[in-house]
Amino acid sequence: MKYKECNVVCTMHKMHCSSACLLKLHIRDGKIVKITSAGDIPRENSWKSDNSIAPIQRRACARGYAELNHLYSPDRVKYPLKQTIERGNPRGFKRITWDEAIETIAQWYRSMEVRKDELGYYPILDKGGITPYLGTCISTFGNPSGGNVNGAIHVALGDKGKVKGNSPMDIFNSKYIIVWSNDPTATLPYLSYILIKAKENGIPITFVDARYTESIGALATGKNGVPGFILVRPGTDGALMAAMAYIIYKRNLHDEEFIKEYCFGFYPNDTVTSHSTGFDPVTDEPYKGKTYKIPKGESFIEYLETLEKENGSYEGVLKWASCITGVPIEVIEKFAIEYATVKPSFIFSKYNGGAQRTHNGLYYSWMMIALSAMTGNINKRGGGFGELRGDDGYEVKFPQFEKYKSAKKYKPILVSQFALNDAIISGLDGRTSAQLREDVLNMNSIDLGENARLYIEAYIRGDTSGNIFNQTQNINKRRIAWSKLKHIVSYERNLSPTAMWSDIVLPFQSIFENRCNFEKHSSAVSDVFVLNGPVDAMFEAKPDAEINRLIAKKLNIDGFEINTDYISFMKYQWSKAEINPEYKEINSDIKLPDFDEIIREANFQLPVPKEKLPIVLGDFKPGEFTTETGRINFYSPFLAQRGRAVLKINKAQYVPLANGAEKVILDGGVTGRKGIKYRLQFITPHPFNKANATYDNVPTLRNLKPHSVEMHPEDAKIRNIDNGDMVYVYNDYGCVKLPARITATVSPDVVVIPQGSWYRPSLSETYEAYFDSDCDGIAEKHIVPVDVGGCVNTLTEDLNSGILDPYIDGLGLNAGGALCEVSKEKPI
Amino acid sequence: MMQWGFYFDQTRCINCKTCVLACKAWNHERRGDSSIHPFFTWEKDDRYNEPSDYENLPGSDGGINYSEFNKYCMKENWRRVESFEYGVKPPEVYTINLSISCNHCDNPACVEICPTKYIYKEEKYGIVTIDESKICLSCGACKKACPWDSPQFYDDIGLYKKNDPNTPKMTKCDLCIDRLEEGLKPACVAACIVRALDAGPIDELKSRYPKYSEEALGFKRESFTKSGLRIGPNIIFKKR
Repeated sequence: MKYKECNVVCTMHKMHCSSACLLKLHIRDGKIVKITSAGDIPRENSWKSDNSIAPIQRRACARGYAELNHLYSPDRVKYPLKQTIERGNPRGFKRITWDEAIETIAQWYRSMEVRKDELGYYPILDKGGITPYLGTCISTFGNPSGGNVNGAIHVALGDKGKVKGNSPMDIFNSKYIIVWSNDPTATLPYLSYILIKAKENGIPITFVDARYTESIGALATGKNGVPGFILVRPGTDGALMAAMAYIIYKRNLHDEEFIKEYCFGFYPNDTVTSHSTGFDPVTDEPYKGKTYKIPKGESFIEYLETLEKENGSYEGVLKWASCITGVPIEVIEKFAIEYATVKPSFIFSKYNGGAQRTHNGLYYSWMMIALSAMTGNINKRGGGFGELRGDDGYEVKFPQFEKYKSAKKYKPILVSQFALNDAIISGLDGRTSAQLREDVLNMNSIDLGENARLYIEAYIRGDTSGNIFNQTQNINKRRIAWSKLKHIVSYERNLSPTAMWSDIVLPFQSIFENRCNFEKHSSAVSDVFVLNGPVDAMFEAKPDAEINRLIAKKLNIDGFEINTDYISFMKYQWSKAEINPEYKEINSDIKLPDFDEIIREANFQLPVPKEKLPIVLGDFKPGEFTTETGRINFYSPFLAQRGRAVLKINKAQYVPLANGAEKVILDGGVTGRKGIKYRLQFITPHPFNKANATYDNVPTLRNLKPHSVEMHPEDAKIRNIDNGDMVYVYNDYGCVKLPARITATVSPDVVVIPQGSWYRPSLSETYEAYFDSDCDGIAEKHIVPVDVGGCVNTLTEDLNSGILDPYIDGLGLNAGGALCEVSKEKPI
Repeated sequence: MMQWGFYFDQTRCINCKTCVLACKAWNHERRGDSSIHPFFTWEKDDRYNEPSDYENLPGSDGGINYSEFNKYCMKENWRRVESFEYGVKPPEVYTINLSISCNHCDNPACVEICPTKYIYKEEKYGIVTIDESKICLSCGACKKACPWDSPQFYDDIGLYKKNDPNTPKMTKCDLCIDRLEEGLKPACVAACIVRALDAGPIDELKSRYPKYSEEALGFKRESFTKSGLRIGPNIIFKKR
């Protein structure tokens, strides 16, 4: 087939990595038959464009090309489905008409009206459906990708909306790049190329990680005696940072002037009268004018001195950190000195960083802010505190698209996403009854009364939530929790585990079907692009907004009419579009393309030279941050006063995992409730061939790297495991069965199970798990199926991490660093 | 005759395998089993209507039917990324990657060994490709003769009885000759995220990358055909 026979439409790959890569869809007879990306331009004279990073060709990764098989996957949900047997059983799904599906859901809503009158809210957990437009319902708080990071930003730097990391191009202003617990080759592929350019420009790079990654292979250089790859035990990153902070302080390499001007809580007895520009998120009162004093023993210096006292001496502290983290003493020392003396140093971990997706992730992220603050790198060009922003500070402004013409939304009651199992079972999500009552009264003006409990009796999973059955912790407990829900509805595209556990599944359209709209800001540069779905809706799939409209119509509710004349609306948007006037100072010739061109190219970028990149933290005057103190907090009076830190610690410090590396070092593991000693820490990184739980059903991606548990030859040998053997990985929470891949790239005592594989209960093999399914604090025995899909959340504990406070985005995920055991024989 | 070839920067490769899938996203309609399981036929196949029907499919396991769905995907890897592991334990470990397709050799071992002249070296670009007017016997001699595994079959031909007409036919990289004819880059080159791949007339590549190396880790250049000719792969490297 010749190229010319195809009609080419440019779009973007809308995926939660936010890379927004350009896809060129080659269309024949109304079907996408080939996919290429931004690099697919005529070969002649393409060198400059191919190799430029500002503007950059937003080249797609393997996941972009796999959309061909993802879109045209035989397990597309083609028609509305109704479960006729028990949840989770694919044999029970029967095709029904849209009319029947909508009528059934409307009926459920009607039956919930009685409960709403009794409770004062709909006992429906709704993520993307219409319930929030009918009245108060329930939604979740907590952010699996970056809750712990966001929490650290909130308490240390202030309102997340006002604080941004430096932009990716700013790394070219750095003299030393530290990538901490992040594998951009898997999670931010565009960044790999920018980092390669930085490396080839001679900027040294050090990686800190709990495992070897391809990023390390291609990018790590090391610097001045500091290796390119520093290996830490999972969950102990904070101990390495504590030792670095200690060394920097003891050697007087900290930036005293900066700390005194900008920070709070570094020195004992710190007192400040706030000039904050922020407001208390709970009371809405301005912080300005209030006085804060650090309690005795809570300052950063006192923490560092305590480390010295506990370990006897300077050498003792280094020995302590080395013992816990596994990093040699001389590496810790050189690394600390190098980071403190080479300025500016760029440090980043970003959302995708694995270390922040652990139970102590808040403190890991806070320590990173602390390190970059005490060295003065935090607000400098070429510096930074761990985050990257997604744009270069400029944008094309135009009116926004309103999904529904006139529907009004009610504020939902928020419940912890990570304690949802408990919330469904017991009505509490980790907050005390009094805290829950107070929060709901303040936020929703509903009094849950004495002994407050929440009722969650149905779940609507619309377009805005992910594959929640699969992607939050403790699946075996979730099976029990979900069995208590009366109704579960999913809008889904493939038969994911969430869909599999639903009563009604409604097929919805993919990003390639029947839509067109503008989007802004890929993760690489400031830009505008077009999400263009040129193929007709497949089978009976509908857009999620249309599904909502149908349900609303059935319930006689107006306001859900949707804007479907995409092109006229986009023409209107583009007619009002303008570039920030300040951008003219960077490029006075810049002109917006005309409408036809932006639709055709689907790409317009506003590149910024490295010396003119905006540095958001640099714009804050000393004392005028939006934190309560107006300063960069090493200790948070707000957090202490709210009392919502899950681990009850309100300052930057190292917090060991309850069952983590220390237990392996000291006791060789932990004996669980099952009576078995778990000796291996497991980590759950993002693999390059999935985007969280998306794509596990796509064979082309699966074939690139079959799902497996990766383990070191030493650990495999003790357990008599060979490469490719089917093995069982288990702990108190459950058991997964998958092939073993023996590789020296994984540390001894650590196993790697990439996250995102779909849970699949075995029909024949069972396992005795121990967990607390009735929320009385005592684990009891449960016979559960072995998970032959290899979903790591069969093994993870459903714990809240970070800050359990619905007023701020600071609740994080507990995904890695816990313990398990592996065997060839099926455990009991 | 012009001779085209590849350039591969081994220092840049991140083993993301985008090249592998970009190749498939362009060439999948030419996979060996495309006439047995044409891409869009599943849409009309009643067996995929409801999940309960999946149970009746061969190899069903009550969930995602990987083996069944894989039928509609390109199994041949016209481009492959191999990864070589060095070291005993982290942090003293590293991997080195080699992305390779067909090297469109000067004296292709596959062409020499093919009993039916199904494979030949075309004139315009020096591309080693397939002559559709000839017949593939599925004998596998080309696969054995090639030191770099370029001739590909969608399934293990050893599983098929002799003279079984369903035995997979060989398919291979043709450097996206259809794209070259349009003035475009091969799909893999256009896709590489870290710009580690290039293709062009080999002399042009050598002057574009003057510090190129003939060797790369994991690559054995000095190889010979059955009759003793130096194969002469048309690929150059930046070596790790």
